[in-house]
Amino acid sequence: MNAAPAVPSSPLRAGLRLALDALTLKPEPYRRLAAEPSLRRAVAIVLAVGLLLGLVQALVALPGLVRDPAAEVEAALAGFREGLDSARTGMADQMTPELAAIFDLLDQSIEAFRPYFLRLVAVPAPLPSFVGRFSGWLGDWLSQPFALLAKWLGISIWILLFARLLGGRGGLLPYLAASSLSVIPHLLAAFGPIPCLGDLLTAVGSIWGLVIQYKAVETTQNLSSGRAVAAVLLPYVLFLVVGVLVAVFGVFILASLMASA
Amino acid sequence: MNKKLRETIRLVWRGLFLEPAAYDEAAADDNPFVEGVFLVVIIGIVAGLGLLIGGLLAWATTPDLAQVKAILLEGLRSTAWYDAMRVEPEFVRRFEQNYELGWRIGEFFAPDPGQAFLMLLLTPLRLLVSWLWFGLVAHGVARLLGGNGTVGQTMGATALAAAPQLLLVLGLVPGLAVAGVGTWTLLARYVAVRRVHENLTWPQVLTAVLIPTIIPVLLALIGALLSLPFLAGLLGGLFA
Repeated sequence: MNAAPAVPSSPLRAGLRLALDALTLKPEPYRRLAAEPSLRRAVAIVLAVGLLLGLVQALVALPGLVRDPAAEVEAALAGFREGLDSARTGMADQMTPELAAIFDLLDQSIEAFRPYFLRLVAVPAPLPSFVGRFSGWLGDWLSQPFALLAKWLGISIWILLFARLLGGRGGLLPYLAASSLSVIPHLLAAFGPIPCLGDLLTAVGSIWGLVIQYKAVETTQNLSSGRAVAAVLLPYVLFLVVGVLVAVFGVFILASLMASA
Repeated sequence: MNKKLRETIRLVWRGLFLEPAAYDEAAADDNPFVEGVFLVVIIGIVAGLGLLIGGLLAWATTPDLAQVKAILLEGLRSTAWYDAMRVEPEFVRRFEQNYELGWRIGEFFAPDPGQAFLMLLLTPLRLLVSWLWFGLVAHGVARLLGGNGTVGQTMGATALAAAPQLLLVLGLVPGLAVAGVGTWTLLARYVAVRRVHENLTWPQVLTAVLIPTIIPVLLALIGALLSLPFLAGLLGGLFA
Protein backbone atom coordinates (compact mmCIF):
# COMPACT_ATOMS: atom_id res chain seq x y z
CA MET A 1 0.00 0.00 0.00
CA ASN A 2 1.30 3.46 -0.88
CA ALA A 3 1.95 5.83 2.02
CA ALA A 4 -0.11 9.07 2.15
CA PRO A 5 1.76 12.07 0.72
CA ALA A 6 3.61 14.01 3.43
CA VAL A 7 3.11 17.34 1.63
CA PRO A 8 0.02 19.20 2.90
CA SER A 9 -2.70 19.41 0.28
CA SER A 10 -3.78 23.07 0.47
CA PRO A 11 -2.04 26.41 1.07
CA LEU A 12 -4.13 26.89 4.23
CA ARG A 13 -3.14 23.51 5.57
CA ALA A 14 0.50 24.17 4.59
CA GLY A 15 0.37 27.51 6.43
CA LEU A 16 -1.10 25.90 9.54
CA ARG A 17 1.53 23.16 9.46
CA LEU A 18 4.26 25.81 9.11
CA ALA A 19 2.84 27.79 12.05
CA LEU A 20 2.54 24.69 14.23
CA ASP A 21 6.10 23.57 13.46
CA ALA A 22 7.38 27.09 14.15
CA LEU A 23 5.49 27.28 17.45
CA THR A 24 6.97 23.94 18.57
CA LEU A 25 10.42 25.29 17.60
CA LYS A 26 11.12 22.66 14.94
CA PRO A 27 14.06 23.95 12.86
CA GLU A 28 12.46 23.18 9.47
CA PRO A 29 10.19 26.28 9.09
CA TYR A 30 13.02 28.64 10.06
CA ARG A 31 15.43 27.00 7.63
CA ARG A 32 12.83 26.98 4.87
CA LEU A 33 11.90 30.64 5.21
CA ALA A 34 15.55 31.68 5.48
CA ALA A 35 16.52 29.60 2.43
CA GLU A 36 13.89 31.28 0.23
CA PRO A 37 13.81 34.73 1.86
CA SER A 38 10.77 36.76 0.89
CA LEU A 39 9.70 39.91 2.69
CA ARG A 40 6.36 39.59 0.89
CA ARG A 41 5.63 36.32 2.71
CA ALA A 42 6.97 37.68 6.02
CA VAL A 43 4.73 40.77 5.80
CA ALA A 44 1.78 38.57 4.81
CA ILE A 45 2.29 36.45 7.95
CA VAL A 46 2.47 39.55 10.20
CA LEU A 47 -0.55 41.23 8.60
CA ALA A 48 -2.62 38.04 8.75
CA VAL A 49 -1.88 37.61 12.46
CA GLY A 50 -2.63 41.31 13.06
CA LEU A 51 -5.94 41.06 11.21
CA LEU A 52 -6.98 38.01 13.23
CA LEU A 53 -5.95 39.72 16.45
CA GLY A 54 -7.91 42.84 15.57
CA LEU A 55 -10.90 40.78 14.42
CA VAL A 56 -11.69 39.75 18.00
CA GLN A 57 -11.86 43.38 19.14
CA ALA A 58 -13.72 44.35 15.95
CA LEU A 59 -16.37 41.68 16.59
CA VAL A 60 -16.77 42.85 20.18
CA ALA A 61 -17.27 46.44 18.93
CA LEU A 62 -19.65 45.38 16.12
CA PRO A 63 -22.94 45.85 18.04
CA GLY A 64 -21.90 49.47 18.74
CA LEU A 65 -22.17 50.13 14.99
CA VAL A 66 -25.90 49.59 14.86
CA ARG A 67 -26.83 50.66 18.38
CA ASP A 68 -28.61 53.99 18.83
CA PRO A 69 -25.97 56.62 19.86
CA ALA A 70 -28.29 57.83 22.62
CA ALA A 71 -28.39 54.29 24.05
CA GLU A 72 -24.57 54.22 23.89
CA VAL A 73 -24.47 57.43 25.94
CA GLU A 74 -26.87 56.00 28.50
CA ALA A 75 -24.77 52.83 28.75
CA ALA A 76 -21.55 54.85 29.17
CA LEU A 77 -23.14 57.03 31.87
CA ALA A 78 -24.47 53.94 33.67
CA GLY A 79 -20.95 52.46 33.57
CA PHE A 80 -19.47 55.68 34.94
CA ARG A 81 -22.03 55.81 37.74
CA GLU A 82 -21.35 52.15 38.58
CA GLY A 83 -17.60 52.93 38.81
CA LEU A 84 -18.32 55.92 41.03
CA ASP A 85 -20.52 53.81 43.33
CA SER A 86 -17.94 51.06 43.66
CA ALA A 87 -15.24 53.66 44.40
CA ARG A 88 -17.51 55.16 47.07
CA THR A 89 -18.11 51.71 48.59
CA GLY A 90 -14.41 50.79 48.38
CA MET A 91 -13.38 53.99 50.16
CA ALA A 92 -16.13 53.79 52.80
CA ASP A 93 -13.53 53.41 55.60
CA GLN A 94 -11.63 56.56 54.63
CA MET A 95 -14.72 58.58 53.71
CA THR A 96 -14.43 62.12 55.07
CA PRO A 97 -17.14 64.80 54.65
CA GLU A 98 -14.90 66.53 52.02
CA LEU A 99 -14.48 63.31 50.03
CA ALA A 100 -18.22 62.61 50.24
CA ALA A 101 -18.89 66.14 48.96
CA ILE A 102 -16.56 65.52 45.96
CA PHE A 103 -18.38 62.28 45.14
CA ASP A 104 -21.75 64.09 45.37
CA LEU A 105 -20.45 66.90 43.18
CA LEU A 106 -19.31 64.41 40.50
CA ASP A 107 -22.61 62.57 40.70
CA GLN A 108 -24.72 65.73 40.35
CA SER A 109 -22.51 67.12 37.58
CA ILE A 110 -22.84 63.98 35.48
CA GLU A 111 -26.60 63.99 36.00
CA ALA A 112 -26.81 67.66 34.96
CA PHE A 113 -24.68 66.97 31.89
CA ARG A 114 -26.80 64.01 30.69
CA PRO A 115 -29.11 66.01 28.34
CA TYR A 116 -26.08 67.75 26.81
CA PHE A 117 -24.43 64.39 26.07
CA LEU A 118 -27.60 63.42 24.21
CA ARG A 119 -27.55 66.71 22.29
CA LEU A 120 -23.85 66.24 21.47
CA VAL A 121 -24.36 62.82 19.84
CA ALA A 122 -27.19 64.31 17.77
CA VAL A 123 -25.03 67.09 16.25
CA PRO A 124 -25.15 66.51 12.48
CA ALA A 125 -22.18 65.85 10.18
CA PRO A 126 -22.22 66.16 6.35
CA LEU A 127 -22.47 62.33 6.09
CA PRO A 128 -24.81 60.11 8.17
CA SER A 129 -23.35 59.22 11.57
CA PHE A 130 -23.28 55.51 10.65
CA VAL A 131 -20.60 56.22 8.02
CA GLY A 132 -18.42 57.82 10.70
CA ARG A 133 -18.97 54.96 13.11
CA PHE A 134 -18.25 52.38 10.39
CA SER A 135 -15.07 54.07 9.18
CA GLY A 136 -13.88 54.42 12.79
CA TRP A 137 -14.58 50.73 13.41
CA LEU A 138 -12.80 49.72 10.18
CA GLY A 139 -9.88 52.04 10.95
CA ASP A 140 -9.47 50.58 14.44
CA TRP A 141 -9.50 47.04 13.08
CA LEU A 142 -7.12 47.69 10.17
CA SER A 143 -4.72 49.61 12.41
CA GLN A 144 -3.98 46.44 14.38
CA PRO A 145 -1.94 44.67 11.65
CA PHE A 146 0.12 47.79 11.09
CA ALA A 147 0.74 48.21 14.81
CA LEU A 148 2.00 44.61 14.88
CA LEU A 149 4.07 45.21 11.74
CA ALA A 150 5.70 48.28 13.30
CA LYS A 151 6.41 46.38 16.50
CA TRP A 152 7.89 43.43 14.63
CA LEU A 153 10.04 45.53 12.27
CA GLY A 154 11.17 47.80 15.10
CA ILE A 155 12.33 45.03 17.41
CA SER A 156 13.69 42.85 14.60
CA ILE A 157 16.15 45.47 13.36
CA TRP A 158 17.50 45.97 16.86
CA ILE A 159 17.85 42.22 17.37
CA LEU A 160 19.61 41.89 14.00
CA LEU A 161 21.92 44.77 14.91
CA PHE A 162 22.95 43.09 18.16
CA ALA A 163 23.25 39.72 16.40
CA ARG A 164 25.65 41.31 13.90
CA LEU A 165 27.62 43.00 16.69
CA LEU A 166 27.92 39.62 18.41
CA GLY A 167 29.38 38.07 15.28
CA GLY A 168 26.31 37.06 13.26
CA ARG A 169 26.86 36.78 9.53
CA GLY A 170 23.41 36.19 8.05
CA GLY A 171 21.55 38.51 5.69
CA LEU A 172 18.74 40.94 6.43
CA LEU A 173 16.04 39.23 4.35
CA PRO A 174 16.63 35.65 5.63
CA TYR A 175 16.44 36.92 9.20
CA LEU A 176 13.28 38.99 8.61
CA ALA A 177 11.67 36.04 6.82
CA ALA A 178 12.36 33.68 9.75
CA SER A 179 11.61 36.21 12.50
CA SER A 180 8.15 36.93 11.05
CA LEU A 181 7.12 33.63 12.69
CA SER A 182 7.65 35.31 16.09
CA VAL A 183 4.36 37.21 15.74
CA ILE A 184 2.24 34.01 15.68
CA PRO A 185 2.17 33.48 19.49
CA HIS A 186 0.91 37.07 19.85
CA LEU A 187 -2.47 35.64 18.79
CA LEU A 188 -2.83 34.74 22.47
CA ALA A 189 -3.33 38.48 23.11
CA ALA A 190 -6.79 38.01 21.56
CA PHE A 191 -7.78 36.63 24.98
CA GLY A 192 -6.58 39.87 26.59
CA PRO A 193 -10.07 41.08 27.65
CA ILE A 194 -10.56 37.99 29.89
CA PRO A 195 -9.79 39.15 33.47
CA CYS A 196 -6.48 37.78 34.88
CA LEU A 197 -6.19 34.91 32.39
CA GLY A 198 -6.02 37.41 29.50
CA ASP A 199 -2.97 39.18 30.93
CA LEU A 200 -1.28 35.87 31.62
CA LEU A 201 -1.91 34.61 28.07
CA THR A 202 -0.67 37.91 26.59
CA ALA A 203 2.54 37.59 28.62
CA VAL A 204 2.94 33.94 27.54
CA GLY A 205 2.52 35.07 23.89
CA SER A 206 5.19 37.74 24.27
CA ILE A 207 7.71 35.35 25.86
CA TRP A 208 6.95 32.69 23.26
CA GLY A 209 7.55 35.31 20.55
CA LEU A 210 10.97 36.04 22.05
CA VAL A 211 11.84 32.34 22.03
CA ILE A 212 10.93 32.22 18.32
CA GLN A 213 13.08 35.32 17.71
CA TYR A 214 15.94 33.43 19.39
CA LYS A 215 15.36 30.47 17.07
CA ALA A 216 15.33 32.79 14.03
CA VAL A 217 18.60 34.45 15.11
CA GLU A 218 20.28 31.13 15.85
CA THR A 219 19.21 29.66 12.50
CA THR A 220 19.93 32.61 10.21
CA GLN A 221 22.95 34.24 11.87
CA ASN A 222 24.95 31.08 12.71
CA LEU A 223 25.39 32.16 16.32
CA SER A 224 25.87 30.01 19.40
CA SER A 225 22.86 29.64 21.71
CA GLY A 226 24.29 32.04 24.29
CA ARG A 227 24.99 34.76 21.74
CA ALA A 228 21.58 34.30 20.14
CA VAL A 229 19.91 34.73 23.55
CA ALA A 230 22.00 37.85 24.18
CA ALA A 231 21.07 39.30 20.76
CA VAL A 232 17.37 38.89 21.54
CA LEU A 233 17.53 40.26 25.09
CA LEU A 234 20.02 43.12 24.70
CA PRO A 235 17.59 45.42 22.82
CA TYR A 236 15.17 45.19 25.75
CA VAL A 237 17.98 45.96 28.22
CA LEU A 238 18.89 48.97 26.05
CA PHE A 239 15.24 50.18 25.96
CA LEU A 240 15.05 49.84 29.74
CA VAL A 241 18.23 51.86 30.29
CA VAL A 242 17.17 54.55 27.76
CA GLY A 243 13.67 54.66 29.32
CA VAL A 244 15.10 55.23 32.81
CA LEU A 245 17.48 57.93 31.49
CA VAL A 246 14.67 59.71 29.61
CA ALA A 247 12.45 59.60 32.71
CA VAL A 248 15.23 61.05 34.89
CA PHE A 249 15.93 63.75 32.28
CA GLY A 250 12.21 64.54 32.01
CA VAL A 251 11.84 64.89 35.77
CA PHE A 252 14.91 67.14 35.81
CA ILE A 253 13.48 69.41 33.06
CA LEU A 254 10.06 69.56 34.74
CA ALA A 255 11.64 70.39 38.07
CA SER A 256 13.72 73.19 36.47
CA LEU A 257 10.64 74.58 34.70
CA MET A 258 8.60 74.54 37.91
CA ALA A 259 11.45 76.13 39.85
CA SER A 260 11.77 78.95 37.30
CA ALA A 261 7.99 79.55 37.08
CA MET B 1 -1.86 51.03 -19.25
CA ASN B 2 1.28 52.39 -20.79
CA LYS B 3 4.31 50.10 -20.69
CA LYS B 4 6.57 52.54 -18.84
CA LEU B 5 4.03 53.04 -16.04
CA ARG B 6 3.45 49.28 -15.79
CA GLU B 7 7.20 48.67 -15.45
CA THR B 8 7.46 51.42 -12.84
CA ILE B 9 4.64 49.90 -10.78
CA ARG B 10 6.34 46.49 -10.94
CA LEU B 11 9.67 48.02 -9.90
CA VAL B 12 8.09 49.89 -6.97
CA TRP B 13 6.31 46.70 -5.86
CA ARG B 14 9.63 44.78 -5.87
CA GLY B 15 11.35 47.69 -4.14
CA LEU B 16 8.69 47.68 -1.45
CA PHE B 17 9.63 44.11 -0.58
CA LEU B 18 13.35 44.94 -0.59
CA GLU B 19 14.27 42.76 -3.58
CA PRO B 20 17.97 43.58 -4.09
CA ALA B 21 17.70 43.19 -7.89
CA ALA B 22 15.08 45.97 -8.02
CA TYR B 23 17.52 48.39 -6.37
CA ASP B 24 20.25 47.33 -8.81
CA GLU B 25 17.86 48.11 -11.69
CA ALA B 26 16.94 51.52 -10.25
CA ALA B 27 20.64 52.35 -9.81
CA ALA B 28 21.58 51.16 -13.29
CA ASP B 29 19.00 53.33 -15.10
CA ASP B 30 20.32 55.54 -17.95
CA ASN B 31 19.14 58.64 -16.15
CA PRO B 32 18.65 57.62 -12.51
CA PHE B 33 18.04 61.16 -11.25
CA VAL B 34 15.13 61.88 -13.64
CA GLU B 35 13.80 58.35 -13.09
CA GLY B 36 14.12 58.96 -9.33
CA VAL B 37 12.08 62.17 -9.50
CA PHE B 38 9.42 60.29 -11.50
CA LEU B 39 9.33 57.40 -8.99
CA VAL B 40 9.14 59.62 -5.92
CA VAL B 41 6.46 61.87 -7.42
CA ILE B 42 4.34 58.88 -8.50
CA ILE B 43 4.61 57.35 -5.00
CA GLY B 44 3.83 60.75 -3.44
CA ILE B 45 0.76 61.31 -5.63
CA VAL B 46 -0.66 57.85 -4.88
CA ALA B 47 -0.06 58.30 -1.12
CA GLY B 48 -1.40 61.87 -1.30
CA LEU B 49 -4.59 60.68 -3.04
CA GLY B 50 -5.22 58.23 -0.19
CA LEU B 51 -4.64 60.97 2.38
CA LEU B 52 -6.91 63.34 0.43
CA ILE B 53 -9.79 60.85 0.36
CA GLY B 54 -9.22 59.99 4.04
CA GLY B 55 -9.12 63.68 4.99
CA LEU B 56 -12.34 64.42 3.12
CA LEU B 57 -14.08 61.42 4.68
CA ALA B 58 -12.87 62.43 8.15
CA TRP B 59 -14.21 65.95 7.61
CA ALA B 60 -17.54 64.65 6.25
CA THR B 61 -18.06 62.38 9.25
CA THR B 62 -17.08 64.97 11.89
CA PRO B 63 -20.03 66.73 13.58
CA ASP B 64 -20.32 70.51 13.28
CA LEU B 65 -17.61 71.64 15.74
CA ALA B 66 -19.16 75.08 16.34
CA GLN B 67 -22.31 73.38 17.64
CA VAL B 68 -20.26 70.91 19.71
CA LYS B 69 -18.31 73.79 21.26
CA ALA B 70 -21.48 75.69 22.19
CA ILE B 71 -23.32 72.65 23.64
CA LEU B 72 -20.27 71.56 25.62
CA LEU B 73 -19.87 75.02 27.16
CA GLU B 74 -23.57 75.20 28.00
CA GLY B 75 -23.39 71.73 29.54
CA LEU B 76 -20.31 72.52 31.65
CA ARG B 77 -21.97 75.70 32.92
CA SER B 78 -25.00 73.67 34.01
CA THR B 79 -23.02 71.36 36.31
CA ALA B 80 -22.80 71.46 40.09
CA TRP B 81 -19.00 71.57 39.73
CA TYR B 82 -19.22 74.88 37.77
CA ASP B 83 -21.62 76.32 40.36
CA ALA B 84 -19.23 75.37 43.16
CA MET B 85 -16.23 76.86 41.39
CA ARG B 86 -17.76 80.13 40.18
CA VAL B 87 -17.76 81.56 43.71
CA GLU B 88 -14.08 82.30 43.09
CA PRO B 89 -14.06 85.67 41.31
CA GLU B 90 -11.22 84.76 38.92
CA PHE B 91 -12.61 81.33 37.99
CA VAL B 92 -15.06 82.34 35.23
CA ARG B 93 -12.51 84.47 33.38
CA ARG B 94 -9.81 81.77 33.54
CA PHE B 95 -12.23 78.99 32.64
CA GLU B 96 -13.44 80.78 29.51
CA GLN B 97 -9.91 81.71 28.51
CA ASN B 98 -8.70 78.12 28.81
CA TYR B 99 -11.81 76.77 27.10
CA GLU B 100 -11.17 79.07 24.11
CA LEU B 101 -7.48 78.13 24.05
CA GLY B 102 -8.33 74.40 24.15
CA TRP B 103 -10.75 74.77 21.26
CA ARG B 104 -8.30 76.82 19.23
CA ILE B 105 -5.70 74.05 19.60
CA GLY B 106 -8.35 71.40 18.85
CA GLU B 107 -9.61 73.19 15.74
CA PHE B 108 -6.06 73.27 14.39
CA PHE B 109 -6.06 69.44 14.32
CA ALA B 110 -9.69 69.05 13.22
CA PRO B 111 -10.31 67.57 9.74
CA ASP B 112 -10.62 70.24 7.07
CA PRO B 113 -11.13 69.93 3.27
CA GLY B 114 -8.47 72.57 2.61
CA GLN B 115 -5.89 70.61 4.58
CA ALA B 116 -6.95 67.40 2.82
CA PHE B 117 -6.31 68.95 -0.62
CA LEU B 118 -3.02 70.33 0.66
CA MET B 119 -1.89 66.75 1.42
CA LEU B 120 -2.14 65.94 -2.29
CA LEU B 121 0.45 68.63 -2.96
CA LEU B 122 2.53 68.32 0.19
CA THR B 123 3.02 64.54 0.19
CA PRO B 124 4.97 64.37 -3.12
CA LEU B 125 6.84 67.53 -2.11
CA ARG B 126 7.76 66.08 1.30
CA LEU B 127 8.93 62.83 -0.30
CA LEU B 128 11.00 64.73 -2.88
CA VAL B 129 12.74 66.86 -0.23
CA SER B 130 13.29 63.82 1.99
CA TRP B 131 14.74 61.83 -0.94
CA LEU B 132 17.07 64.65 -2.06
CA TRP B 133 18.32 65.23 1.49
CA PHE B 134 18.79 61.55 2.25
CA GLY B 135 20.28 60.60 -1.12
CA LEU B 136 22.83 63.42 -1.22
CA VAL B 137 23.93 63.21 2.43
CA ALA B 138 24.04 59.40 2.45
CA HIS B 139 26.06 59.46 -0.77
CA GLY B 140 28.48 62.01 0.69
CA VAL B 141 28.99 59.94 3.85
CA ALA B 142 29.30 56.70 1.87
CA ARG B 143 31.97 58.26 -0.37
CA LEU B 144 33.84 59.61 2.65
CA LEU B 145 33.86 56.08 4.04
CA GLY B 146 35.28 54.76 0.75
CA GLY B 147 32.08 53.76 -1.08
CA ASN B 148 32.42 53.15 -4.81
CA GLY B 149 28.94 54.09 -6.10
CA THR B 150 28.20 57.19 -8.16
CA VAL B 151 25.83 59.94 -7.09
CA GLY B 152 23.42 59.00 -9.92
CA GLN B 153 23.32 55.36 -8.77
CA THR B 154 22.73 56.40 -5.15
CA MET B 155 19.93 58.78 -6.13
CA GLY B 156 18.29 56.15 -8.38
CA ALA B 157 18.38 53.42 -5.74
CA THR B 158 17.33 55.66 -2.83
CA ALA B 159 14.35 56.94 -4.85
CA LEU B 160 13.06 53.37 -4.95
CA ALA B 161 13.49 53.24 -1.16
CA ALA B 162 10.49 55.61 -0.94
CA ALA B 163 8.31 52.63 -1.95
CA PRO B 164 7.08 51.87 1.62
CA GLN B 165 5.54 55.36 1.68
CA LEU B 166 2.97 53.91 -0.74
CA LEU B 167 1.31 52.34 2.30
CA LEU B 168 0.14 55.83 3.28
CA VAL B 169 -2.52 55.38 0.58
CA LEU B 170 -4.37 53.35 3.22
CA GLY B 171 -4.95 56.66 4.99
CA LEU B 172 -8.11 56.74 2.87
CA VAL B 173 -9.76 54.95 5.78
CA PRO B 174 -10.19 57.63 8.48
CA GLY B 175 -8.72 56.51 11.80
CA LEU B 176 -6.42 53.93 10.20
CA ALA B 177 -2.94 54.41 11.67
CA VAL B 178 -0.42 53.02 9.16
CA ALA B 179 2.43 52.37 11.60
CA GLY B 180 5.83 51.00 10.62
CA VAL B 181 6.28 52.98 7.39
CA GLY B 182 9.29 54.87 8.79
CA THR B 183 11.12 51.72 9.87
CA TRP B 184 10.32 50.00 6.58
CA THR B 185 11.65 53.03 4.65
CA LEU B 186 14.83 52.94 6.73
CA LEU B 187 15.34 49.27 5.84
CA ALA B 188 14.73 50.04 2.16
CA ARG B 189 17.28 52.86 2.30
CA TYR B 190 19.79 50.49 3.91
CA VAL B 191 19.31 47.99 1.08
CA ALA B 192 19.60 50.82 -1.51
CA VAL B 193 22.91 52.18 -0.14
CA ARG B 194 24.27 48.65 0.38
CA ARG B 195 23.57 47.71 -3.24
CA VAL B 196 25.18 50.85 -4.68
CA HIS B 197 28.25 51.04 -2.44
CA GLU B 198 28.80 47.30 -2.39
CA ASN B 199 32.44 47.58 -1.23
CA LEU B 200 31.42 49.06 2.15
CA THR B 201 31.03 46.91 5.26
CA TRP B 202 27.61 46.79 6.94
CA PRO B 203 28.56 49.17 9.80
CA GLN B 204 29.76 51.69 7.20
CA VAL B 205 26.49 51.40 5.25
CA LEU B 206 24.56 51.76 8.50
CA THR B 207 26.53 54.93 9.31
CA ALA B 208 25.78 56.36 5.85
CA VAL B 209 22.07 55.61 6.33
CA LEU B 210 21.79 56.82 9.92
CA ILE B 211 23.60 60.16 9.62
CA PRO B 212 21.03 61.82 7.28
CA THR B 213 18.24 60.22 9.34
CA ILE B 214 19.53 61.39 12.72
CA ILE B 215 20.52 64.97 11.77
CA PRO B 216 16.90 66.23 11.31
CA VAL B 217 15.84 64.49 14.55
CA LEU B 218 18.73 66.11 16.45
CA LEU B 219 17.94 69.52 14.94
CA ALA B 220 14.27 69.13 15.96
CA LEU B 221 15.30 68.13 19.50
CA ILE B 222 17.68 71.08 19.82
CA GLY B 223 14.93 73.38 18.50
CA ALA B 224 12.45 71.96 21.00
CA LEU B 225 14.89 72.37 23.90
CA LEU B 226 15.73 75.94 22.87
CA SER B 227 12.04 76.82 22.59
CA LEU B 228 11.23 75.42 26.07
CA PRO B 229 11.89 78.69 27.96
CA PHE B 230 9.85 80.57 25.32
CA LEU B 231 6.96 78.08 25.64
CA ALA B 232 7.12 78.22 29.44
CA GLY B 233 6.93 82.01 29.25
CA LEU B 234 4.03 81.86 26.79
CA LEU B 235 2.05 79.37 28.91
CA GLY B 236 2.86 81.31 32.05
CA GLY B 237 1.50 84.46 30.38
CA LEU B 238 -1.67 82.69 29.27
CA PHE B 239 -2.46 81.28 32.69
CA ALA B 240 -1.50 84.40 34.60
